[in-house]
Amino acid sequence: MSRVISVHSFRGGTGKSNTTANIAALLAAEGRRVCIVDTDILSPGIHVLFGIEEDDVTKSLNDYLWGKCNIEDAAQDVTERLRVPLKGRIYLVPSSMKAGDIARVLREGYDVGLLNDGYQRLLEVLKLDVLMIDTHPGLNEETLLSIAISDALAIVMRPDSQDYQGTAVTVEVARKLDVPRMLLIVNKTPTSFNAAEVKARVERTFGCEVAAVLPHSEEMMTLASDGIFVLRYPNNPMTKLLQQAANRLMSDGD
Amino acid sequence: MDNGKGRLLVVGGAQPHLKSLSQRLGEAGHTVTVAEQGPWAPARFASEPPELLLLDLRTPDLDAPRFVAQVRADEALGDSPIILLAAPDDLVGVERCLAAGAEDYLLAPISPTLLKAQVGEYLAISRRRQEARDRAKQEAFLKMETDLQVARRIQEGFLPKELPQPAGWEVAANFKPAREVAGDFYDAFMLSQKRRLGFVVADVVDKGVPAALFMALVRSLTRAFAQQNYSLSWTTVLEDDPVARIAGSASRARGGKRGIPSTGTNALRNAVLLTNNYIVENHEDLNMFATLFFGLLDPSNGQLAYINAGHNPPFVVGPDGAVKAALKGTGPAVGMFPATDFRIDYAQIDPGDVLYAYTDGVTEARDAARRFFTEKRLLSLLSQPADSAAGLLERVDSSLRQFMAGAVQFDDITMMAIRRKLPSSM
Repeated sequence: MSRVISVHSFRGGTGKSNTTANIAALLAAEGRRVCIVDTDILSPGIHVLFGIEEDDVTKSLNDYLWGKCNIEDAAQDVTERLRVPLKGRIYLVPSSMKAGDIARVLREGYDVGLLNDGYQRLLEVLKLDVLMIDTHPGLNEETLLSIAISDALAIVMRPDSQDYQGTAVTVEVARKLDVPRMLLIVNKTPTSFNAAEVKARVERTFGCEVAAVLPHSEEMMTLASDGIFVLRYPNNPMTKLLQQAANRLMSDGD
Repeated sequence: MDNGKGRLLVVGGAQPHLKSLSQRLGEAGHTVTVAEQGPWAPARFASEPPELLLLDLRTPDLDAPRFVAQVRADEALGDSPIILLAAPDDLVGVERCLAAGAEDYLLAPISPTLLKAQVGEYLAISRRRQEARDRAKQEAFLKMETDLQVARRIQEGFLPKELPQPAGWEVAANFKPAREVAGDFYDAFMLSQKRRLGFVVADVVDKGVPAALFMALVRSLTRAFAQQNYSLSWTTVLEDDPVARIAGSASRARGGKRGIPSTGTNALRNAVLLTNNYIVENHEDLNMFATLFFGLLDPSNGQLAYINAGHNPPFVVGPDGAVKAALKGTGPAVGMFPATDFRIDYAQIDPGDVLYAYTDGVTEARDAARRFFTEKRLLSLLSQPADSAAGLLERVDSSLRQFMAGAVQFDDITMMAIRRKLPSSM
């Protein structure tokens, strides 16, 4: 039974893409077939974490949306790139980094219905266990769509007041859309904060379970595109927290 | 009638001098009708209007000026000149009648030469007036014909020159405009990077040039909005509508959640909703609306999403002729209400099935005895198996032609058939 997980945040800079890539790696390490779709068409970025550059992309999500290919043609098997043996597989459907392509999307838009059909097709053709949707920050029709069809939603936020307000909006929308499983991930938490207090406070504020409180990590920042953190540093406390989050996302709650 | 001989009416002919006058005119080759007695009402003569009247003022019981005025006012007689015949001491009477509209007069004793001259002259005048009247009628008729032609040309210009034929499918259309153009239209085009076939059958409620123009507007807006990609901004997301729309369907099973856009469904909704809103906001005073059926077909699997805006439901007919579905209304006609929601419904077209869409010009076609064609007859025609979409349309069309023989076609007749071919015939 395949599972669709959306990873969302109200504002940019919360570490959403990083979190997505790491959770995907952890799920794949346990033997699953995982595909990440970068639906952040206006500011694509997750491909960097897999060491993918412009030349490495023959077909992107954009090409699918513009009718030039089927969506599975844009899915790259990035498992080998990770240089760490994995029991499962990771695929990535990247969004185009070319300025012209991004401008075209801004100008013409695209049929958002294609995304839903595309997700279904990926699940079928790639025989996926998990589809992870890396969304564009903020609320728009794509976000609504991905939330509506997801089995689980992870909302990534930083513990500052702007994110608190924005996340409240997202949580409300997600509730209306009847997501079966919604979890918050608090990221880039200043090391001076007490993690347990943060967890309690956030859970109280939103009435929603916190899967993990991730500290601000220098190592994560310096690693950048040199690989996926959890695969590089399997014993790091951060990795354990991310594993916890992954487990929570895969379960259907208590 | 250029031989100078005309149809004359002599009013008041009982008197002896008029008898001989009439006789003489008759011998000269004119057709003379003599009215010897009252009542002196012009309506009496209107069925076979004379070209020229000779009116004797000495006729008993005749209010001559009144009679002249009535003749002038009469539709049929109004242009016929009146020559008065009067006694020499009755100039007052003559003046009164001239004032009432008579052309000329002769005083007794009537000189045959003068009479002949006047009759000739005024017959010529009468004929010239008749010609002018005929020309005016002709021009009015031509103008109406031109308007109809304009309307017809507008309508034709907005119908597709070619219908898309996705692999494994046959798309056919049949269109017969009424004499007075009534604004039906049909359309078909590929959407969403050719992954979907969009098709429309619509009926504008009105006739003539205004209907044709409105049809052009609706058709253009529908096409244009269907081809745009409108995405919701986050402000619209926060209003209840789009969330409710997505959340508001029964099953949460992935893919079964109907409110979630799939390929082309946003285009389908936009096309109808935005067209509706545009017309309501910008053309309220026109008081026109259109019933419309817009189907969105996935040629790869026969899945059909559709909006039926107040239009007579198309039928899905199986290969054996059984009617599998009637695609009923999912919203009101386009251009009627502001802020209406148009629901999308779904159907399946399997191999061998035909979808038949039409306008009420079909079921409401009348025969010479003014009986309707009826949906019942249409359904019985559809229920015979068809091996091609064009063949099905031809069958209905020829039945209609037979039915309507001798009767005037009042409404446009529009039909479209979309058939999914059977695998063996591909």
